[in-house]
Amino acid sequence: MNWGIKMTDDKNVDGLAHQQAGRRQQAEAELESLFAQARDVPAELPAALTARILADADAVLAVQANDRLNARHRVPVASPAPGLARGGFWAQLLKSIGGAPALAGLAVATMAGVWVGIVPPAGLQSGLQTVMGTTGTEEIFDIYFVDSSDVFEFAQTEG
Amino acid sequence: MAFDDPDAIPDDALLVLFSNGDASAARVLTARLGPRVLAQAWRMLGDRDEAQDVTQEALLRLWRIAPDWRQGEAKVTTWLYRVTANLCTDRLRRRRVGVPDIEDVPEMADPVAPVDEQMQQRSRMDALQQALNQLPDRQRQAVVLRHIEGLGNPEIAEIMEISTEAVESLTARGKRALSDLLAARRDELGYQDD
Repeated sequence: MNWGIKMTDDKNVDGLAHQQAGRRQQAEAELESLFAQARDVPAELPAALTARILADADAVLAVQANDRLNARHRVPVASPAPGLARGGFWAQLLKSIGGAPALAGLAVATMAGVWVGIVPPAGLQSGLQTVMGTTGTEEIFDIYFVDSSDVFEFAQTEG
Repeated sequence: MAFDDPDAIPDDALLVLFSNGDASAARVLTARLGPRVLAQAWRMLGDRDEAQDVTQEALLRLWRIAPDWRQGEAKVTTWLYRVTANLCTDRLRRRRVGVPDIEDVPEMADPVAPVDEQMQQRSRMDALQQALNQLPDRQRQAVVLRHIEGLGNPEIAEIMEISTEAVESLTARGKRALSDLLAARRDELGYQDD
């Protein structure tokens, strides 16, 4: 509430705003003029700086030329011939038979063979009789020229 | 190789020549781009020696990237302005910019101007640089690129890796701040009310 008293003079406010706008415009024009002067300043490279820059350029060219030369004359690093297994004898052997799965299969087959040898199945014995015409184990040993007599018996005989 | 008209060869073609071992291409590029880099660095740093070091470093990076430069993808000048801006920013981060020595201010271009006029021009350039030094780094960079180097907002946006709206905002705020800083020195700089 202003009690009906006019606090400011509108004419003065307008004049002040106008003055401020004028100053702002003038300041901008002066700044633009400064920018223009700054643009006109010829920025020339000092001779010593130019020499440093060109020395860098020469050095970079020399390095790049050297790199190209090295790349052209580089002896290729010998790589293992394709198909040649790397590693020691056992590694090569393992690889030649087909790796670990093949080795496991081989072990199972060997164990099965040993087992069949120790405890021959009945079917296998009758098959053998058919082929060899024998009945007893001793006869089978005879066929293979194996002395089936016990080592203990032999010791008793010899005294 | 000697060029019949080196000015007619685009920057990126000169870079290709350089990467093919042509040292004279480096001379043309240095003469063409070096002064711009030096001016930008000097306006950003306010120190002649540091600006020269930045100029050498920026151009060294240009020589090194030459074999990998892909023609038509970017302007060499834009790339160089960006490298220069980044090098200046790194240096500004490492130190607080001081008021430049008056001896560091480059000589004015007009040798026939009267001595007192030359002195006034020089003191105005000093005042501009001192005011620029007081701006925040990003504002100073945008103002220098826009109003002294004369680049367009899109190119400045690319150099500073910001939007064109952000460039407009930075330059507007920078100009206002410069006007305020220089307004206090109007009499000293020989400006009079209309």
